[in-house]
Amino acid sequence: MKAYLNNIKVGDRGTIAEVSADNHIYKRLTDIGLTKGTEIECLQINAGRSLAVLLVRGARLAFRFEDLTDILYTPEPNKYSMKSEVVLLGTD
Amino acid sequence: MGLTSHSTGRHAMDGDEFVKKQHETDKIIALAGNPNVGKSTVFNALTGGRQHTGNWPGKTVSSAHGVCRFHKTDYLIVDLPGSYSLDARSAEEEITRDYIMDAGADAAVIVCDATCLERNLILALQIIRNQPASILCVNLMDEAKKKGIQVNLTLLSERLGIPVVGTAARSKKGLSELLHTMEEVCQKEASVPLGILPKTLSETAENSPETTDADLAHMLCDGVLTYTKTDYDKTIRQADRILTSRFFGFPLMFLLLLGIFWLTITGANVPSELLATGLFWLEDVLYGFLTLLPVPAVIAEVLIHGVYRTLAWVVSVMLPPMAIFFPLFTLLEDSGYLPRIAFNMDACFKKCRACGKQALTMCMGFGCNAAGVIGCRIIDSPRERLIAILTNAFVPCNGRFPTLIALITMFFVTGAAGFFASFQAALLLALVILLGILATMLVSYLLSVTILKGMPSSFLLELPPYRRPQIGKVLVRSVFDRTLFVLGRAAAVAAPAGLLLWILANVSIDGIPLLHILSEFLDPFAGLMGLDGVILLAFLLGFPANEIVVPIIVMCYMSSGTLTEYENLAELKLLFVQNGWTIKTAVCTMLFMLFHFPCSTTCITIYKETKKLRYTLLAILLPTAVGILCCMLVNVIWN
Repeated sequence: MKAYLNNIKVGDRGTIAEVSADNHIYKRLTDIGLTKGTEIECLQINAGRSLAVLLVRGARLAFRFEDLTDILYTPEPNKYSMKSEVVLLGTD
Repeated sequence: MGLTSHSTGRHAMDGDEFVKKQHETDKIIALAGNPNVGKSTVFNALTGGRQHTGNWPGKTVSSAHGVCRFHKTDYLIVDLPGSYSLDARSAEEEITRDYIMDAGADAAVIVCDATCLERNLILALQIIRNQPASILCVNLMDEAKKKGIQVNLTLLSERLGIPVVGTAARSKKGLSELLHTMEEVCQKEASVPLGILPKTLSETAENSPETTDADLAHMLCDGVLTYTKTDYDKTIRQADRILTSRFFGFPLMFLLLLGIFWLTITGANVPSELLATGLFWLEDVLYGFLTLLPVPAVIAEVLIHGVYRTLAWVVSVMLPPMAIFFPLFTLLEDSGYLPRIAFNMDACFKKCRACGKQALTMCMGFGCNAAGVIGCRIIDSPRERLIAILTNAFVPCNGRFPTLIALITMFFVTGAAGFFASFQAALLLALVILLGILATMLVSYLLSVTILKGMPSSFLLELPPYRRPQIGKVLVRSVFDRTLFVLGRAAAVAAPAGLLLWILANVSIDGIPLLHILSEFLDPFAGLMGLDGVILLAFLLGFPANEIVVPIIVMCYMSSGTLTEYENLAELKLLFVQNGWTIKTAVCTMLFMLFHFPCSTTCITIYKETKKLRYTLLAILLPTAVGILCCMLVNVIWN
């Protein structure tokens, strides 16, 4: 179940599945290590929702949401979604 | 350690020329690496240089060179701006690329951050391919230790095929090992080609051409890095959660601004008074001494009542706030908080179609407008860089703060000097600054929709880890450095201005001193702005340095008034009031101090950066026009 990086929320973690070569900062993303297989975590989103801070290979980088389009990642299921699954099963 | 006298003012532009060898045996060493890994710190440590350092990416925007003498060889060290890739995207990355690719250097020292090694190795790999004589300098080992990150330097060296040295440049550790390694590498250059990536790595790269440098870096670090603490960045996370929070971010920034101003104002009170008393006592002594000598009375007059007095004024009133604000600003830089400011304010700047990094250059402008203009190189897009350059002068620089503080203290603060009074002054100053920031954004927006049309471009900002500044060291060095700088400028600018003033006040045409002629000529226009001719004249004469504006006003009033000396700001207020000042005048003067043409150094810097006269003229015109407009508005509304 993949999602686009520009929909990421604070606290979400995941692994990059694909970086489209159409992304206009594609080369820059490769330079800073945001490539397929990289683990990322969204740490912060700023007031006005223009930037998201992603933890990439040990560095905290702030990206504009527009620059994160065309990047697919596989979200790591967080504990809350696990819990809701259990609750669903329990209400049978 | 922050903006130094070597990186502000005239020296902000130093270092764009390619370095040349003096002797055959000299070796040129290029210091390259990602932004904010400590290259400038290593540079300062090796060469004894005074490069501007600080904990935010993008301080070094031009290359600097220095000499390090080791075992009878001179090593010319070039401190390059940080880059993420040799594939240059901005002016400063081009400088790095040119140095590495054009083989100008005998060896390269690739500086890396031990706490972020994997990402740093991506650039390292690119550099090693182009410059076989490379050394990997893994810096910030002390930070890594604190965070429980262990780096196996030997294993890394084996895998990369180049020497690897661990350093903690801030505490000067590991530097002698670095120097020895540099020596070895430079001597070997003729024989064995170093640093061709070992077979295993090259093979992996050849087998699957999709293997990027990022993947190689990951493979290199596997086994080399050991994390003993899983929550090694807990503190940064917690701090950022508050400081960059959507709710607390802005209020905290305002409080910080307030705090810094309060410290500046309070801290400057006592030294100011002491200096004023001391220097003016000295003035009488010197005058008395000079009159005893067989020199014409005129000389004594000119020297003491012209030159010395202006100098004394600058030193006693302008120096203390400047010497306090700068170290505080440096501490802020070193802590790593500045990029968070840019992060918080990005949405605002984006609405004005400008770049969020403009927040950083704006902050630099608080220290020195010229340095702020140079700092605009961190903005990739030429359009946005130009906007940042043109609007940099809308925030007051270090030289304008004391004037604003003095005027606020004289006219707007009630009660004697005490906590409440200082707090009032700080609050008012903070509000004035907010006005400047607001103007910056408005004008940026106006420029974006008129002559510099365009939309916001892509943007990448790195938030470095918070690092505890070496408080004691920074305070001492910065205070010392800034004091010398201000004194030097006082001697170079204020003294001649004092001389000029004395001449204007004492040379007459038809019995009217030149000073009167000039100020009366300016009176009508100044009156429209709520000012008087003397104030306007002072601003014009203060073109070389903003801190002499108020001294010039004082000198002008004193030369034609009855008050012959003053001891503190209260008496100064009297002088001003006697010359027609009202609160409205104070407001208008402050507005114009905030919004007027940049100082001469900044203008020259803008010309050198933009290389176009029209943008320089625009940079002069914009703030002045805003200033004139605001003053006229206030003048009209106040009546």
